[in-house]
Amino acid sequence: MASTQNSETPATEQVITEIFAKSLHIILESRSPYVSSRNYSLDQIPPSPSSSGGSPSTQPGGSRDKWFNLALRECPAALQNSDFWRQSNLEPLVIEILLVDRVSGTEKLLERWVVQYETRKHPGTGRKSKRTYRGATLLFRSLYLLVRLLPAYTLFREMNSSGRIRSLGLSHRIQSFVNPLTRSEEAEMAHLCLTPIETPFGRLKHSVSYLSVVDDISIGSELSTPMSTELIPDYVGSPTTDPLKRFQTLPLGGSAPICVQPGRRHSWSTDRLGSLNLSPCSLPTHSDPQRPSIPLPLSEVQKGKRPVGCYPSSLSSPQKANLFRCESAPVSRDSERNQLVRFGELPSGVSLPKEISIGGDAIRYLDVAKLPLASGSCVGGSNVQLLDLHEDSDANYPFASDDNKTKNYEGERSLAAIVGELLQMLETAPKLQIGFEKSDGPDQNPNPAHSGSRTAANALEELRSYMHMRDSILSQSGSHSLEPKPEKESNSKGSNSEKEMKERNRP
Amino acid sequence: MNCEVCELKELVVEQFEIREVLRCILHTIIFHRALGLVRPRDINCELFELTYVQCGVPEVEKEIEEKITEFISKISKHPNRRSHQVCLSFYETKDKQPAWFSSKTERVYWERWFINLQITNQRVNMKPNQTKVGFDPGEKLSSLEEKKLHRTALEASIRENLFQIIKFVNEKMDHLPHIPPNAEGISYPYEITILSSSESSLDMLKRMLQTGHQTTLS
Repeated sequence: MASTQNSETPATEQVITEIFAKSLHIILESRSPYVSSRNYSLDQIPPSPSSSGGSPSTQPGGSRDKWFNLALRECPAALQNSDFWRQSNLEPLVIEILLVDRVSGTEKLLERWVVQYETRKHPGTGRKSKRTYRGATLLFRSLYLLVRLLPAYTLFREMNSSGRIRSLGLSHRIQSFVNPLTRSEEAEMAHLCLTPIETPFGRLKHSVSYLSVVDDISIGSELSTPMSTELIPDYVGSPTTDPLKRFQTLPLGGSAPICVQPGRRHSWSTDRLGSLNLSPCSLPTHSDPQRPSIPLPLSEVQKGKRPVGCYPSSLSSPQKANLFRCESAPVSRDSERNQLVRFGELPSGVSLPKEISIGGDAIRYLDVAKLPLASGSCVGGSNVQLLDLHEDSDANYPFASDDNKTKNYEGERSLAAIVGELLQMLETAPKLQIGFEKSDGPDQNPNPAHSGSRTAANALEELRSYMHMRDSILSQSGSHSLEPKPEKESNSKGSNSEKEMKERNRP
Repeated sequence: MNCEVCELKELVVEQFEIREVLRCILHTIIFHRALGLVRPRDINCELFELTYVQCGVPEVEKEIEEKITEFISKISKHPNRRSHQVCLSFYETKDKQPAWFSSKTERVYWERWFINLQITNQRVNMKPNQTKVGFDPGEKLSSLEEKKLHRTALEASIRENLFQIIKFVNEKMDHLPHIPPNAEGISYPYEITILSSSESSLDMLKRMLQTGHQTTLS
């Protein structure tokens, strides 16, 4: 535990440490677009609140989210940087939120959050650790709301909601010192301080300097990335597409990454992924500006169910989802069941997903590996983890390849080579083999599809037998359809009926 | 015990905006006073570019919706009255000496929030003989501009209210009662009162003092 190098009790020290952690969590959760777009339902949070935040010592090690009675979801960006400030509670925690221009590489400081512990000049006048905990509980309620009231949150919402690759992105930088603001930054930034949290021998101060006007940094008016886009009519999951066609229609000209339409039955649905809800994607096409936006499953979760914790934002309206939220799509690591299709980087420099997992009876998931240009990755500091693949042992990915291959992939292979490999994989996949073509020479074909040709030959034989049966039935019915025969039958029937009538009429 | 009072800045709202505005303010206050374990829930306003936070307790959401409905029906009975008030109070129940025809417990209010609304109806500004066919495009544009201005101003006012709430809860903490251990969700009982359109908050406090209501004021 980080020490404040003073007379704070161990319990207070722990509370102070957790205050730093919680602050980091709350801030990054609402400023780190791609990571925080992952949403968990309440099912992932232990249902029993018995280990409430009232007593820090009773908190299990993995229940940090419930500290200060504010249960939050995991925030990988915060977890990555949690060790930073653990060195010493005396060092300030400085979190800078930056607006990054991916084209020019320039940054603009949007917010600077500072959490700092100060020792008290006159020890003994502070509050007990219990009151420290309560003060922190109250503060974090305000902090949680405050991060959503500041202008940067609007940008965060915009970036989360849009499926376009934007030239601007949000990034963050964490450090233990405060850089003085420039004159221009001082002039255009506003400042807020929350009431310090009193400790027995010091106090914790939370303050923020933020850009009060972000109207000139309009996301909608930004320059689009210099990439050509393609309209992919045969999108993955379309009921009209041939399974093979979806690989033929992949954008090759450096357009936006592959997106999956929300109409797919098995993709990113709540029931399939359980608590992991991913938003459907829409293709960022310039040629089809009226592509309808698709309601997010997230909004359904948020509106119709129990509170599921905080969601990143803008969930109440239909939105175009972001491909990069595929990060939390489950990926089965079972090499026997999964085959991943890999694609190389696009010539424009925008890398396609490293791994695309297509499995089951339909394309289920679109797993996206790290996209270096897909987010505002931090410059000079901690990088935002864009994507995170989750394992799902229940997923069925017939085309998933070995993990080693995907891990060794460095994005330098040509697209054509990757597509060729994919096609080869498809050809060798037994169930997709066109059996009729190879049924002529099953013995001549040594490839593994031989079993498939036998299957097709058997099917052909069966079909022929059915055809024979059909012919025989038709012939039988055809013989009945001749005039004499049906007349005979009808006559016979009629004579029979006449006989019956006569018999009935007999006394 | 002190009863801290916070009078929020008045919001000028149209009829159809009342629900959204009251949801935003009431949920924000309760979120700050639900000091038990909560799983916060972000809500994006449909009418405004604003996100507020709910404490995630369904009973709270239900009660707030009911009170808002009650408020809307009450103000519809007083169309000429424009200023209305909703009071959110937090209290403690304490035992008192039993007496004839009186309850054994009393409510001791330790915090009150007054939400002030001025209901406006833009249709009042329209000329009575205007029809859709007879609309002057220029007037239609100006009414759209007015609506936009009103919406922008209201959004700014709501933000101001929310900042006011944050400031108040951060500055005044000593009056908060003790939080029971292992509390979940709502830690303090509360009540939402719709003040009659004819009385203001000051009038209400006077009435309470005069009638000996169970309110302790410092």
